[in-house]
Amino acid sequence: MKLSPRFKYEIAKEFGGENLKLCFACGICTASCPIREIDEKYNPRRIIRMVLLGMKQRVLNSDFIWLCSSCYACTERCPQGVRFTEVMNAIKNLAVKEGYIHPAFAQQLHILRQFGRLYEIDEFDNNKRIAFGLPKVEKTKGFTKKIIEIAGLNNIIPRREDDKNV
Amino acid sequence: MMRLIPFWGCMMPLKYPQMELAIRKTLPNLGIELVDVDGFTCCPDPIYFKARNKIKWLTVAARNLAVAEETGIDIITMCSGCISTLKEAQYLLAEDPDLMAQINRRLKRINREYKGKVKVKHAVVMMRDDLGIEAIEKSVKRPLEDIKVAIHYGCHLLKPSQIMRVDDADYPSILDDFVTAIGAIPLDHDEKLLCCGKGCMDDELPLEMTESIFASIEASGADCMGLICPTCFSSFDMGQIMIARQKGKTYNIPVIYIFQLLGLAQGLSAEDIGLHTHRVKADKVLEKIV
Amino acid sequence: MMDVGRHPNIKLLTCSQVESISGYVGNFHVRVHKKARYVVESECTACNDCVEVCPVIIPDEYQQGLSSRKAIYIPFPQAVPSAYLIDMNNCLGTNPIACGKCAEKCDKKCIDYDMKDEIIEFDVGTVIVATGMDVFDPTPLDEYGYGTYENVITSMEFERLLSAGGPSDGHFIRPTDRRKPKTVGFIQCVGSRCEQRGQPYCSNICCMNTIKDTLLLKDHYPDIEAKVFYIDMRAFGKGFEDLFKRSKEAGVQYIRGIPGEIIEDSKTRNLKILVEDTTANKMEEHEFEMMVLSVGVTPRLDMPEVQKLLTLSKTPDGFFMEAHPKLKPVDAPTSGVFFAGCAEAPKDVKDSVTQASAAAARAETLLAAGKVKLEAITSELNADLCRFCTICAQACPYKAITVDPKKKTISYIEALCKGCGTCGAECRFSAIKMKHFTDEQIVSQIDTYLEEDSYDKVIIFACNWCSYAGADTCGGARLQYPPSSRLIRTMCSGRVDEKFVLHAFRKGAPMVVVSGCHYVDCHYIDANRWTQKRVEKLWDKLERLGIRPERLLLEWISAAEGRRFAQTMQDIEELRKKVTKEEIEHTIKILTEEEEKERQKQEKLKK
Repeated sequence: MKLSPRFKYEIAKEFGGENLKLCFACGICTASCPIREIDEKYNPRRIIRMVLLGMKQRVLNSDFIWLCSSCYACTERCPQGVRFTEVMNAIKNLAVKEGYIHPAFAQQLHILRQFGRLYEIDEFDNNKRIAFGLPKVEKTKGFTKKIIEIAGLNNIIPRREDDKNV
Repeated sequence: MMRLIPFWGCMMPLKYPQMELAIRKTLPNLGIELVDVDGFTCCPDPIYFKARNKIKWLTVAARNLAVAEETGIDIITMCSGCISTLKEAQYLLAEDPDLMAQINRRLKRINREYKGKVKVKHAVVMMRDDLGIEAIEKSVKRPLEDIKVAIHYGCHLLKPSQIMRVDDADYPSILDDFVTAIGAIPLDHDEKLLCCGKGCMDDELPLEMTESIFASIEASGADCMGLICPTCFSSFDMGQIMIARQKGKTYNIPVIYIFQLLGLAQGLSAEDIGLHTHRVKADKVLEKIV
Repeated sequence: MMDVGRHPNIKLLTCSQVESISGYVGNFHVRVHKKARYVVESECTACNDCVEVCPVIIPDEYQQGLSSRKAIYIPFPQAVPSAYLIDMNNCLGTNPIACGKCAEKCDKKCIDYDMKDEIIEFDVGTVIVATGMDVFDPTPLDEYGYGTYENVITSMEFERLLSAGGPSDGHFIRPTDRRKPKTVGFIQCVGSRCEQRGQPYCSNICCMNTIKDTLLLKDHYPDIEAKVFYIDMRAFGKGFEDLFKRSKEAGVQYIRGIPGEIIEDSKTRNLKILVEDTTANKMEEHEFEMMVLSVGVTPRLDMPEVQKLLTLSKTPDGFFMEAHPKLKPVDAPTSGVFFAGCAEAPKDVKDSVTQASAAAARAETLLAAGKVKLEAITSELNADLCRFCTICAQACPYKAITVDPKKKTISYIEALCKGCGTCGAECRFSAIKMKHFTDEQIVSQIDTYLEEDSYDKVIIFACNWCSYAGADTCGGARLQYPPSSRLIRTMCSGRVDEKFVLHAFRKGAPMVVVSGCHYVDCHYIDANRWTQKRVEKLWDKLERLGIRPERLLLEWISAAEGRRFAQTMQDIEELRKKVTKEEIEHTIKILTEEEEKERQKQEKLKK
C-alpha cells in the first residue's frame, strides 16, 4: 500500500484538525464511542493512527469516515484536547476536496443548494402547515447566486446534471 | 413582554410543523413575543454541510447571525442542530479575530457583516436562565401528574460542553427540571444520554442505537419519551416503525417534543399541538391526562 | 520526625503559619503566627484519657475520611510533638457547662481552653521552602463516578485501606459491603496528562505508586485479581523496572487503554468498564468489585501566599520555579531561598530526600561562610531626582525597591538587587543609574557602530544570559550570519531603554532588534515581560511618528539556539535590504525634530 507521509499535516491544516498530532493513543475515545460499541469498523483511535501513519487513500476512500454521528462523546473525554469530532470533520472536508463524498451527503448538499434549506420546499409540506394554520414556507428571500457562491455550493462533488438550472 | 427572534431551521417548519405549532402556541403564554425575520437559510446543519467545508459552513452560519444582528433582537432556537451550529460559529469567531476578518471579507460580497453582538440561546436555556422555572410552573393549567417521561437529551444541546456551556454533560438536569415544572415525573434510564445515531451514515447502525434506547426506556416503565431535538424525533418516531418492520419488535412508546408536553400542561388539546400527526400515537398519555 | 523534634539545633513550630518574611539573604526577618493547640505540649504524655471521653466524632482527615477522630486528637500516630490538640471548630465548647470533659479527665491538667494564638518573630539567614503538594480531586470527572459510586476510590484511600494503621486495621475491604474484593482495577493518569480537566503534566509518581500498590495487594492477598489500565507505564528510576517486572510476575495484568466510563451495577455494586486494549486493537469488558483511581499531583492551593512571602515565581504548571532548571535546581531566584520536595515539582520520596539534602547543603554553604559576596552589578538610586511614580518598584522582580507615593519615600535594599536594569530602563526621571552597562556606555556603542555607513548595519540588543550566549553558540559552531549585525550586550533585555532604540534610529540604523530569553525562561524572574510591554509601546510610538514599526523587532533566542540566531539574522538581513536610504534620512529627520521638541519641553519645565 502506498503511504503519504504528509497526510497528517494536510489534516492538521484543515480547520478543526489542528490538534490531531497531540493524540497519545490512550483509547478513551474508542471506549466512549457509541458507534464503536455496535460496529468495530469504526474506531476513533485507529483512525487517528491511520492518519498519522499516512494511510491517505485507505482513510479518504473508506466508508467508515461517514459513520461518525457527531455526538461529541470522545471530544468531552479526550485528555489531550484532540477534539476528535472536529478532526473527523476535517477528514471529511479533505475527502470532499479530493472527490470522495458519501452519496447521502451529496444529495443533502444538492437540496441545500436549490432551496437554501435541508429539505425541499414543496406543496406537500406546505399543505401540512396550512392544515395547522401556519404560514407557508417560501424559498429564502435573497438566497441569490452570490450566497450560493460564498457558501461554496456551486461545485459540489460529484456534479449532477440538473445543477445547471440553478 | 420579551421579544425574541425564533430561528426555526429546516426540519421543524418543513418536516415537523407540529413542533413549530407547539412553540407558537406555548411561548406567548410565558410572555414571549416571537418576531419572525425573513432571510434565514439553513443554519447550516452541523453534519452534512460542515463535512463539506467548515470555513464555508462558518460563513453561512455567520450570515444567519448577521441577518438577526441587524434587527437588534436576540435569537432563540428550538432545534439542537441549529443551536450547535450557531453557538460553535459564535465561539470560533469570538476566539479568533483573524477568522472573523476572513469570514467578514466573504460576507462583504453580499453586503453583510457579523459583529458578534447578537445573543443566541436555545429556548429551554432561555426559559431556565431568563424566565426562571417558576414562570413555567405558573403557566401550567393542567399539571401532567403521574406521567412518567423518559427524557432524551440528545448530543448537541449539551456537547461540546466547552462551547455550549448549558449544563453538566454527564449529569444534566435542565430538561428534568423542565419536566418537573409541568408536573410530570422525569425518569432515569440506562441509555438516557446515548446518541440517537442519526448522524451516522449507515443503514443498520442508527437503528441498533435507537433500539437499545427503547429497550432501556421500556425497562424503566415510562409512559412516553420527551425530547428536544427534531433530528432525534425522526430517529425515534419513524424509528419505532422501522424497528417493528425490520426486527418485529413493537415498543409503542410515544415520542413527544418537550414543548408539546408544555402545551398539554398549559391546557391545549392534542390536535392544537399536532400530536395526532405522530406515527406512534400518544393515546396512553392523553388518557392519563383527561 | 522524632529526631527533628529532639535535635537541640532544630526548633520545630507546628500548628504555625508564616505571616511575613522581610529582609534579604543572611538577614531574613520572619513573623510566625503560632496557633493555640489548647494542650500544654511539654506536659502532655499522650495517655489517651482525654480522647476517650471526648463526645465529638468527626471524619478523620488523615484516614481520608474513612474513619473518625475526636475533637481532641493527634493528627497521625507518628506526629511530632506527641501531644494532643483541640480542633476548636468542632469542640463542643470551652465552657465547662457545655462539655469540658477532657479537662476534667486530664490528671496532669495540661488542657488549657484559654490558650491564645501567639506571634513569634525571629531572624534567619536562609529559608527552605518545602510546602508540598495537593492530590488531584477526581470528583469533576463524571465518567468515573468518584463520589457517586462508593467502590470507586482514589489511590490515597487505597493506601489507607491497605495500611496496618488504617481505618480497617489493615484488612482490605471494599466500602459498600466491608468484604474483601476479589477483583480490583486501577486506572492510571487520572487528572494527569490531561489538558482539559486536570493537569497537563505527568505527575511523576503515580505509575510507581500503582506498581507498589499492586505488589502489596498481591503480597497480602495472592488470590485477588488486579488489572491496571494505563497509557504509558513510566518506570524510569533506579530499581523501578525491576519492581514493574515483579508486579507482572505476581500476576497483575497491565492493559494499555483508558476506560471510557465506569458503570455501577446497582444490585451487586460491582463496577463495569468498557475499554479498548490498544495493543491488541480489541474492545474488552471488565467487571471489578473495586476500582482505584490513580490520582495525580497538583500544586498546593495556598501556593500564591507562599509565593508572595518570598517573591517567588511559578512555572506554567503551577509549581515553584527554580533559579535555573539544570545548574541551580534547588535555588529559588531570590538569594538565600531554596526548595525541597513537591513544592518545586512532583517527585517521589527518594527525589524529595535528595533535593532536601541538596537544599540543606546549599543553605549551609551560605551560613558557614557567614558573609556573602554579591555581584557588583546593581543599580544606583538618586532619591533627589525621584518623583515617587512607583514604576521602578513595580518593575523590580526582586522587590528591592519600595516606594510610598503618599509619604514620598523610597527605599532600596542593594543586597536584593540582581542587576537586570529594568528599573533604570523604566525610570523617566533619570533617578536610577546602573553601575554597569551605563547609559553612556551603551549610547557610545550605538554611536560608534553607526558612525559610518549606518544604513547597512543592524543594531541588536542581546541579553547576557540567552541571546548573547546564543550568538556565541552560533559563532562557536561556525555558523554563518550576515556581517551587518552589530551586537550590544545588556544583562537583561529589560535594560533596553526606549531612548536607546530611538537613539539608534536617530543615528541612522535601518533595523533595531531587541532580544532576550524565552518568555518563561527569563533569568530575572519576569523582567522580560517589561521588555515586551516596552517594545509594544514603542511600536505604537513609531507608528505615530510615521516610522514603520516593522523596523523594530523583538526576538526570543536562548543560549542553545545558535542556529536560530543565524536564521533570525538572515531573515533580518532580508528586511534590512528593503529599508531605503531615503527612509532612513526621513526617520533621522523626524526623530531629530522630536528630540528638539522634547528638549524644549524639558527646558520650559525647568523654568
